[in-house]
Amino acid sequence: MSVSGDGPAGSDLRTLAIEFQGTMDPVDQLVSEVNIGAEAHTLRGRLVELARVLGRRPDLTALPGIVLRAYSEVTDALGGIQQGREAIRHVTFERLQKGHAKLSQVAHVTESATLELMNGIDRSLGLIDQLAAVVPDHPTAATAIDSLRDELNEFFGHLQFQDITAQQLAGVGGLLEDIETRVQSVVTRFDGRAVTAAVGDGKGQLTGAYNADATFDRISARQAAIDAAFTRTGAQASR
Amino acid sequence: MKCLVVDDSATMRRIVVNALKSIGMTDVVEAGDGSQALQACDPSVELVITDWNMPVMDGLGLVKALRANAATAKTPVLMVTTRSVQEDIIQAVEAGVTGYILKPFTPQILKDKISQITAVA
Repeated sequence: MSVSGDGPAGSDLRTLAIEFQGTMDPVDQLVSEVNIGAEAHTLRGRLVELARVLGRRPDLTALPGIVLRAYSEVTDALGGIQQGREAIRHVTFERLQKGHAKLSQVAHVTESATLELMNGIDRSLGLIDQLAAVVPDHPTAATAIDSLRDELNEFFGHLQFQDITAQQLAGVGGLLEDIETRVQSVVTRFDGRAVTAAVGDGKGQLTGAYNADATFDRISARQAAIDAAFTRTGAQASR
Repeated sequence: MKCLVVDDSATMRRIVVNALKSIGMTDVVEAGDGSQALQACDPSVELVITDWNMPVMDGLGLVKALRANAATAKTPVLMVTTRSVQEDIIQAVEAGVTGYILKPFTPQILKDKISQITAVA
């Protein structure tokens, strides 16, 4: 058996350990027979057998060297695992959580901007009411004022984008949290140490109930399908 | 007609209230979730407009609770939500939802649906 090859010490160590076990068995048997006071000729026979076994195992003297090599390789591997753990921790907390915090910030800023737009529209509608009171009997002005009011009300309705995008952002935030939890469990498996947050969790604006599938797509078609299904299901339910 | 608007989003409540105002419905009370809505929903409320996804008690839970109470069992409930899969519609009908509108909606759609469900009720 060679112990000086370039292969991992682990395979050498395993082979040698099996051989060592085979050598220790006759030693153990000899000790047992000495303990029970076996006849001298029996013990002599055991000794001869042991000498033969040892003679077939010339590489046993290499065992300490192989153990040291194996220890060195295990130490190197642990260093690599530690680096991997740190890399994953970095991804978990400095990227996922920062990404989550940025989403939260976008949700917050969008909500604030939407509220400001609503306040502006409310003020504008108030001004339109004042204007309508000034020119109550002017047909052209009244028509224009009504059109302007309708436009602003429609514009107000378009601000529903904020609710839908907030739900979409919350859905992505939930996905990031799920990935973070899974990565944490992987990191913890490396050495059993719990991973603690390196940056703030930044979940503020992305909590609460939401529909991650919220979308602007095909609203008319989906509403028509819902109306049809609602009528059909309702009719069935009322039977 | 007194209307109860239920949504956890303050912006969404304002949008619904503004849409109601634009179609002449100004008697409106608001609630931030199903649980608050149950407290606000006295017999004078003639229409409930609710979101589905809300904390504490969601819209579906609210409808079930309203239907279980003799005083509100017949009150029309309009669900305004982003949810549109078939299972959701079935659940909504079975819970006792009267009408269903997808977000985003227009004031005209809201008006039409309110006319439809209050006429039936």
